[in-house]
Amino acid sequence: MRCLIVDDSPRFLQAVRGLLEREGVVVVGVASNIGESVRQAGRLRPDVTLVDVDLGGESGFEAARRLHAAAGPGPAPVILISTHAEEDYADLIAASPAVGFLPKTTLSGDAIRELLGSR
Amino acid sequence: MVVASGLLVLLVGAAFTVLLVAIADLRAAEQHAQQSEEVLVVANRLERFVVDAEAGLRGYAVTADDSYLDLWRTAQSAVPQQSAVLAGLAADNPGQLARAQRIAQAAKSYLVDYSAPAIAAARKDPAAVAWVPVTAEGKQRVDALRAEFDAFVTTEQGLEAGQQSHSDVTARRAILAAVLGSAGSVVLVALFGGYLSRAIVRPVRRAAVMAGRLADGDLGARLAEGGAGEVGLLERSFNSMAGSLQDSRADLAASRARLVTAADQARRRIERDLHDGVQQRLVSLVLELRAAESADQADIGARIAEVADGLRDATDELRELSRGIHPSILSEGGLRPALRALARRSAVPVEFGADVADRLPDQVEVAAYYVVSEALANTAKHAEATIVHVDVRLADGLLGLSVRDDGIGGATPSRGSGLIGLTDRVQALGGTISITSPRGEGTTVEVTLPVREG
Repeated sequence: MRCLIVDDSPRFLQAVRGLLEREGVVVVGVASNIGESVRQAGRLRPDVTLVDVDLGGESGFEAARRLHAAAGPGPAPVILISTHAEEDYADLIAASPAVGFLPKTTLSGDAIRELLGSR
Repeated sequence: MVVASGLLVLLVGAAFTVLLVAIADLRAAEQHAQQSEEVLVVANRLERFVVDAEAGLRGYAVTADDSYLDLWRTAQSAVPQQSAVLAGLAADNPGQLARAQRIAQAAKSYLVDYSAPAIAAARKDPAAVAWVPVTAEGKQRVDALRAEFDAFVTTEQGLEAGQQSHSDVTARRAILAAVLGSAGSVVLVALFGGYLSRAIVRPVRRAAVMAGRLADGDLGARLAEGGAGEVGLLERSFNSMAGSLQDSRADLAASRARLVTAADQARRRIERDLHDGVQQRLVSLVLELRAAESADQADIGARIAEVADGLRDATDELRELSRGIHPSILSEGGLRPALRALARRSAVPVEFGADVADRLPDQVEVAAYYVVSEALANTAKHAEATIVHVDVRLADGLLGLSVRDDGIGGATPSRGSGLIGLTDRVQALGGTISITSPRGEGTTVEVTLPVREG
């Protein structure tokens, strides 16, 4: 599985990359803002994109919409990730084109696969 | 005021009355003087006719020339006529009338009873003419007439002089009345001015000075009350205005102090939560990791998994803390999803209704969020409710919030510091808050917040 990760924290990007690679997920690229993520997604064509809800000054929900709109037919699924609780964002997650939400503390290859497989 | 006006009117009226009476008197006196003058003229003319007649008669006696009798003949026709005029003019004074009648009688008698027979006799006997005019009788008659005339004229002049002095008295009285009237008016107008100045101008000036002090921020400034009528009303209104300004400034200062205190307390609480909670937990995890370094190879995986669980709990705790500082969902999604998230976490089931625009000004969203959050927390803590209705509506530039539970009621707004904090927050935005909580009938918190876009 080829994965693009969008987050504004380099430390988190480094940690999650190491974890996922060990669990058999290929991290093809990372981005720290919406513009960069859209460019990377167009170029790399990942199987899944993980997007942090809070991208510093930008919104992860906005990133999800832009990625979805830019990808054309059959876009790569987006999974929103955050340290915030899922129940806080339930309405916004439901309204977004993202396929689901994973808390950062429980993020793993299996969790991603499970989420993608369940839909 | 009314008394002064009345006095002024009375004084001016009295002065005018005296003046009018005096003017009428003077006009009557003038008429009287004119009549007196005419009487004197007519009396003189009558006397002259008689004297002329006598002179003519004497001329005839000396010369026997008939032309001397022309004067006599003129007198013959003029005397009765002038006598009648004199009697007419003297009619209003009985004494003078009697004199005028005596003069007329004597003149007529002289002309008819004495001179006419003498002339007739002389014509018959011209030689006798010479003695005719110088008879003692003729002289006596003319002297008597003259004396009568003198008495008449003297009396008439006396009457006129009397009239004149009466007119003088009247004129002096009129002048006195005019002077007194003007002086009185001046005094009253001055008193009036003094009263106006004391009762109106000075209080108004004091009010202006006080308004200036208020404008400069001295809200303790007050006017001495006790003015009459509208001025007193003005003084009382000014004082109550200053009073309410002072009260509201005091309220404002108190609420500002509470807001500062609340912010300080919140920071202290966050510091304690960070120190006593997350930091202690992390410290203990560091110690566990250090211990794992020297643990058996077989044991190490399980110990690391334990530390990872501990770290996840620590991040959960941090998440709760950061949500308490500011709910990120509010800035991310706006009021409606933030309130829904509150409703989902509420210990008491929430029925939620919202009719609001996607986004509202930040401070309004934050205030509305904390109103609902605090109300739900209070309901969970005190109300023993089975359901809470949360309703949010935006209409006519006002955001209306209502949180209503079916609990035990009896909440007192002054007791909970949370509610006071909410009141301050709502009032800082120019909104209103009301809490109704009859015992046994649940609690309703209603808040309105003005929404100014931009």
